[in-house]
Amino acid sequence: MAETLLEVKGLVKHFPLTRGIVIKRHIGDVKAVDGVDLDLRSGETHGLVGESGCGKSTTGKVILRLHEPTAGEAFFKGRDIFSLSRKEMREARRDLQIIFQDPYASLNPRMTVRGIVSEPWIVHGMYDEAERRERAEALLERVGLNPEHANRYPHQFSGGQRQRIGVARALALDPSVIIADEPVSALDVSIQAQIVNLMQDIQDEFGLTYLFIAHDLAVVRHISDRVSVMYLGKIMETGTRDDIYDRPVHPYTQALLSAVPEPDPVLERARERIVLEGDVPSPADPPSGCVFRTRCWKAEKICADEAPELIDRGHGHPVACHFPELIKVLDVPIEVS
Amino acid sequence: MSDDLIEPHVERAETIVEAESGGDIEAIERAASLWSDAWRELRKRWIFWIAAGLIGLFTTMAAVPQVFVAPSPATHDPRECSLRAADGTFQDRLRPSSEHWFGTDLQGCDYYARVIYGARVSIVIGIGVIALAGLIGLALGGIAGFYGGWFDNLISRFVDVLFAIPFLVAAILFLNVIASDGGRGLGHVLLVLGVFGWPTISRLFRASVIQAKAQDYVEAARAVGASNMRILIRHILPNAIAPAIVYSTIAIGGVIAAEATLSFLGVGLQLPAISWGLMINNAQTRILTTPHLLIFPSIFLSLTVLGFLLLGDAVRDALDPRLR
Amino acid sequence: MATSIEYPALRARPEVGDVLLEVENLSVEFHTDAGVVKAVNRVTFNLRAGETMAIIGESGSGKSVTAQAIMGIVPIPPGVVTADAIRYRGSDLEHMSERQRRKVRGDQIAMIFQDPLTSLNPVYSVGFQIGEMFRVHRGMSRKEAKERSIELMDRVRIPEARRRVGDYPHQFSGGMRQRVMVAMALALEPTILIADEPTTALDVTVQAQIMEILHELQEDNNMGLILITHDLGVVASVADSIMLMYAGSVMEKAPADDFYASPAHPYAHGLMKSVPRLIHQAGRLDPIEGAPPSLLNVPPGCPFNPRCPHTRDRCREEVPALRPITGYVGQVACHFAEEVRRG
Repeated sequence: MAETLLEVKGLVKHFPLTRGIVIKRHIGDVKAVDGVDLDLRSGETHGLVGESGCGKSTTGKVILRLHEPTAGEAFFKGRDIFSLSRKEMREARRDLQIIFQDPYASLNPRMTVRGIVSEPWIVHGMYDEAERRERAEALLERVGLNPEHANRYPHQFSGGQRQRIGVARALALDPSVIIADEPVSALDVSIQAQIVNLMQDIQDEFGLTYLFIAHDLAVVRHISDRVSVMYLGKIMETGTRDDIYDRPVHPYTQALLSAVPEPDPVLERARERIVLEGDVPSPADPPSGCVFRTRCWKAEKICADEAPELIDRGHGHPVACHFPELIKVLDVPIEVS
Repeated sequence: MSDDLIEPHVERAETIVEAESGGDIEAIERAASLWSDAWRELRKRWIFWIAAGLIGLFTTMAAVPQVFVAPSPATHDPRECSLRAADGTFQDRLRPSSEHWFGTDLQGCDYYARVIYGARVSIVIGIGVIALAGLIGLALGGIAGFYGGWFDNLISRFVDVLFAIPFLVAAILFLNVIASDGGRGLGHVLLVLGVFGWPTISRLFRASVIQAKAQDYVEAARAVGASNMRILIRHILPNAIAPAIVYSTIAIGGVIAAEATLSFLGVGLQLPAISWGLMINNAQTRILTTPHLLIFPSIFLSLTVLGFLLLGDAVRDALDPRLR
Repeated sequence: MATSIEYPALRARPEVGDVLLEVENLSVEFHTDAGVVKAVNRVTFNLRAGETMAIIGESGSGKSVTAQAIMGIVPIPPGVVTADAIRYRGSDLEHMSERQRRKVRGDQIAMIFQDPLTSLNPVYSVGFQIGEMFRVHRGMSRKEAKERSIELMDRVRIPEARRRVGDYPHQFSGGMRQRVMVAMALALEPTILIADEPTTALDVTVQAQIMEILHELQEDNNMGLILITHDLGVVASVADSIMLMYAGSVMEKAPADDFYASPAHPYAHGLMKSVPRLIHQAGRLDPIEGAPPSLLNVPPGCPFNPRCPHTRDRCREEVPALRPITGYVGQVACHFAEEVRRG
């Protein structure tokens, strides 16, 4: 029975909007994350999907306390990580690491690759110089790089290789959980698969649990055990991978799945697209009640009055909607020729 | 997703490594840090070599003026001046000759020796002021940029106030007040110039620090548990310092000129200090009769300032694409 | 060979099937301090009225530079553009004067880019920028231009166009801004529209909308549409033909349905196998090993050879020409395409 490693409850992160230079007046908030519940079970890959601005990246960073939460709780291996002191948090970080999206910005251009990968050990006072060298080279090799290049600088590597360096860095402290923030979005298509495979390979070997944050639904389907769908700072639907992809009940999930193009013209032409009207509202001024209601074809008065809770409404997995309905979006009727 | 045209990997292409399988196309290149790349770029530029030559010349002159004075047939001590020669003739205001290469000044001092020794003041002040201003500017700018909030507010407003004060007016006021004749020395001038020099450096550095702070690799360091001090020194400083370096190099030239200006105006160094500015001051009313008194210190001053300006230019070009 | 464009003749709307663009052996090099970048290598294709061609490639493939060369906006120097021919409706584009080129650009051949935020001027209203096309190229008055702008905004389905015509780019969402770009591009009813990664910066729910609009507008006007992208999926339903580029060269050219059903080039194969599918699930992803080469150092012979699972000696020595192969409708640049196809 897989234990729950990370439990997030009611996570809120608001970024204040201010006006003025010398005296700043608080005129509002960007509600990037507005009440998110999430849990991670040991050994799984939990995909967190959503489009840009939905707050998925912020969620990951707040869990790591790279931003301080506005409200909510997060329990990592039973400990309340939001109440840890700086020193205690530092210790906790050994077990909870991150892979960043942009391979060009996430590595210090003035440090050697060896230095980048060894930094976690230096920060935590682990190993001596010689051992660090050895371990750094071993890690580089494990992620598919030539250890002889350890003295080179990031700009001497391609995007895919830099991302591997990022993976190596995340592995250095032997964490239990890695939060992967859009790890393949910035890579070429033919390289994405390499990194996805790498992450899957090392997952068993290093005993890792992933929170895989992405907007690419196809990649998430491929790698995840469970999936949560985010929109405007809230979770719309969550469940096992098959729950979400084969049995979606939230209109946003359905629209999202419907919009993803497949490289298959015959299939594409046979598909019925759910087209959403309108724009994503600004997170500084989200709609009342259900945040999705302004674009939802089912919206009724109750949707404006009452924000639906994320609970199981009889479909086998939690959904935040007053009118959930199963539409098997990905079941496409194809004429058999 | 960056595409075509001139991408980053084109500029770095000579050092891209194919480390994956299928790597018989491996380009075996030495590790190249951004600094060593910049140094290579710098060495390619002829402006750099001219600047280096000039600066090298004048710095050596400042350090060991004796070496330069040695070959001169006249007295080697710039302060040993006599109005009359041994045979009783007046020695003042002589034209340049084989005996006195740059002629003599109003007191009969050998001008060549004085001009050579004048380099010391300029170089010392130039480098000293920038060192002082740099230290203060980097520290305050770094704190303001990195910590933000009230620190930033306080420091930035203070900087604004300093910017609002007109430099020359304040310098003159300050130096005149401190001035009693003879009481004003190198230290005072250094202080005044230093106080007005650091705001620009701090602003520049603050801006680069803010930019560097927003980069993912800083967040990555935080995620690993690095302390603020470590982040500032290992991550932010090396990546934010380039614009400050460029400015400081050029500013050395500016400071040297500023000292000369102050001395020229009579509020900088005073006799018996040997400063090109002072010499120019003394020479100004006699341009027609004794032009050599003006020409030589002016040329030396200009060349020294030019050297630093050119170096700053070359450094800026070399660091440019790597300024981030 | 006409070197000046006679407007009356070319203003006539093309019929479906008319050849709009002929590109023969187009090559673009950039001469930089670090060396010569061979961005585009002997690209050849035709575009007909009513046809949608998708140029697919990853970064460094040369797809954007190809479009820029056709538009005549490659910076020269350091760029050097050579071609046997670049003909627009029979007229030679390559040797046209800059002035004539500019007349063609925007008016007859329009282009939209990836990032509408940086392509639109933030200090002018959206209506003003669309209207500019009419004022400058058609000599319309401000009032007329504004009316036409509103019409266009309606056509690209920007809601409440009349009210929003005076709004500024930052007041629109990404998807809406891209529609504004499309409106601007279409203002002068060009015969060819080149869209360079039009949906890459947009969310997936918005991508479909933009592709639909482009498709509709193309059908209305019998336009030739060139879609440049790295996303195999986004063009699957709208493309008539596919041109696959890698490291500056064309690897495969085929009708879309045939290409997707069963591509011939090993690179195309590799791509298809490495892309995770939403609907057809793969077991493990099968990536292409290695990485795209630096354009300063394109491998000799076939540029894909270091990464190709089928590579032989000949691949390293001889550059494969784009040729038709038996059992396939399209053209492939591979020495052993037939063998690879047989399995």
